[in-house]
Amino acid sequence: MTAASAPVDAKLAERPSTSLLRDTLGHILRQRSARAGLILLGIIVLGAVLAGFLTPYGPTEQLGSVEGAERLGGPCIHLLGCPDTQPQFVMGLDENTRDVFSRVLHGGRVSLTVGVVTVGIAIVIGTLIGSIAGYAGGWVDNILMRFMDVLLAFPALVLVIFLATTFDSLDLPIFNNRLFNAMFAIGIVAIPVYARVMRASVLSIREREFVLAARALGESGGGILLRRILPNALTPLIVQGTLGIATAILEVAALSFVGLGAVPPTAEWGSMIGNVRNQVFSAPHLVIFPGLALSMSVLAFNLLGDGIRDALDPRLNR
Amino acid sequence: MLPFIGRRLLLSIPVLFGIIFMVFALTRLLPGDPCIAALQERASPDVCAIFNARFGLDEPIPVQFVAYLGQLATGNLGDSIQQGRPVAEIMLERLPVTLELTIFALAFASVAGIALGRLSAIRRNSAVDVGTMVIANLGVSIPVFVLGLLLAYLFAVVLRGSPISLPPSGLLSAGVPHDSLAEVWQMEESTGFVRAILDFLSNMTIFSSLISFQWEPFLDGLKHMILPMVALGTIPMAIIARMTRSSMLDVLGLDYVRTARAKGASERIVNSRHAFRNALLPVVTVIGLSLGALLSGAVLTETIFLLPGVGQTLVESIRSRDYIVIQNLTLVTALTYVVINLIVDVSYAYLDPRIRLR
Repeated sequence: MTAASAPVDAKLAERPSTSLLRDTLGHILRQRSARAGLILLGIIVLGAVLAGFLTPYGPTEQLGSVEGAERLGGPCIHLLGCPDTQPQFVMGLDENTRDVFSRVLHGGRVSLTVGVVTVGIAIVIGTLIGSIAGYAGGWVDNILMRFMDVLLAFPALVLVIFLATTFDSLDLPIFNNRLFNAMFAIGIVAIPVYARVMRASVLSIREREFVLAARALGESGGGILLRRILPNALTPLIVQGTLGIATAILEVAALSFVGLGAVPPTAEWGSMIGNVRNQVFSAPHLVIFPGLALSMSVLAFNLLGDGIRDALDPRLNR
Repeated sequence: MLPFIGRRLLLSIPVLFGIIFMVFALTRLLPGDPCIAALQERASPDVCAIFNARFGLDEPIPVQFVAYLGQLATGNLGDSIQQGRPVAEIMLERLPVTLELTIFALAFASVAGIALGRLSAIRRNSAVDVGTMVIANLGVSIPVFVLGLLLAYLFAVVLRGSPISLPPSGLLSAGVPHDSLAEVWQMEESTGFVRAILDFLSNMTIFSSLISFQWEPFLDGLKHMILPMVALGTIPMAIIARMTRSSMLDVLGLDYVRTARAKGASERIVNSRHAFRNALLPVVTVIGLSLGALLSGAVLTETIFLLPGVGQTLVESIRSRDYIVIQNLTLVTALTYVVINLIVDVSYAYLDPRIRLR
């Protein structure tokens, strides 16, 4: 080491070492909406994961035998002045004398799982279709993308309902779980979004020098897609995926609301609301609490997705 | 303009075929053959052979597909198993209700969304701006059916008896007379296509009472429309508000806006004449895109507010597993959506001449 470079090295040592991942996380956390989304999401995830510890009753436990537990009974919180003589139900009881609080927390497990799994299905298949279309070009591209156009030509929920009823009625062992059918249907309907994002990335990247270099080095088509192109397409996929989870949660709740998707007595927010929609005038708490949980989860993913987009879009920051 | 419309029409033909083929193929996946589904316990092998021959179900699939296209073209959509009448008849009755609801919700979303977004952009970073954007973020996240039920509870139960109480269900109050257009215009002898059009329009309660000057059902219908319209329109309204705000802010930062200010144009003129008009184009795109969400949301809104539209029929058919109705409603909704998209695209080309050249 020469004498001249010593001060430079010292300067460099002063700066904490950073990594791309840490930089990115830093950028994301600097976004107010992303922070708000993460906090909300944290609360919901904790509630869902710890539901077993936090709730006094099971999600499907009927409390008709508990003294003072009334069917459709409103919330009773001792801290807020509910007389000590009555048993405490933070969010009240539902039409089958089940504890709404327990059901709302457990419902988070279903919604979060469904959201993540459906987006997972859609991203994997969509990315595959998008990369094949973008990389192959020509008639392959044309056929695949026209098929995507057809999927996009339906109003989403209508197609989801149609697919879910079709899957439900199929007499095959893999289609015997209605919640799984709903997830599958929502996943399929979401595919075109990811296919389009991926195809656009592939088209913009495949002619770049580093891809040419990789090809010159003898890398296979699949290797180029996986190692060179996919990493560069990750940002829009992550943004779309985060926003997509919000959509998926909404759609599965809507499906369960109309009687597809989750099967009673499963604690799922949409079906909890759907089951009592004729009693909303006498027992509004049965709509308010699951509705609040549902809206908060959707809001969390929407805020997080917006935040990530603002943080990672180079046109908007730095 | 005409070449653009022609090209756009040609491009939508493959999509239309794709939609029809997909619905056809998925329906053929359904278990049990159609014979058993239609005839139930009367279906014996002999009867089914005749049934299949009569409906062409013993032909190869491609032939069946062509036959199905022919059926569609003649408006023969099959019979509802549950209701025992032609699906086409059900559509004619139900689609207008959905269309009217969608149009009202779209109008609400556009007017309120643009107004809020514009206000927000002009008073950037003020309390009004922050408040509007918080509302917009919350609005995007509340599911249609939750908002609908809560609105119904608020306006029909909490506010019952107050002057702003609103009816939570149905198209009209019981006892409000509403004559069909054929009756009002004394065209009851008309048949076929003319009659179909008249009946279709008559089922748009508010619109038909307006054009036939029946004020009582008109006002009552409007009153019944407010809650469903707000419930269905809130998500698109929030999206439109956010888009209007960001588009307005983009435009307000441009040089020609500064020039206009330098010329001494008042802030109001700059905002309305210079900035607002040019900020509208991306907003129109978003309005067009929100139609899919509206048609989807209509399914839920109609279920909550008991409006006899396509969506409510769809949900009823899910309960009774009336596949023929589900299949055809899906098809007709998708076709409606394609047609609406076509109209939206053509109107962009009208608004922005650059699009015609692409």
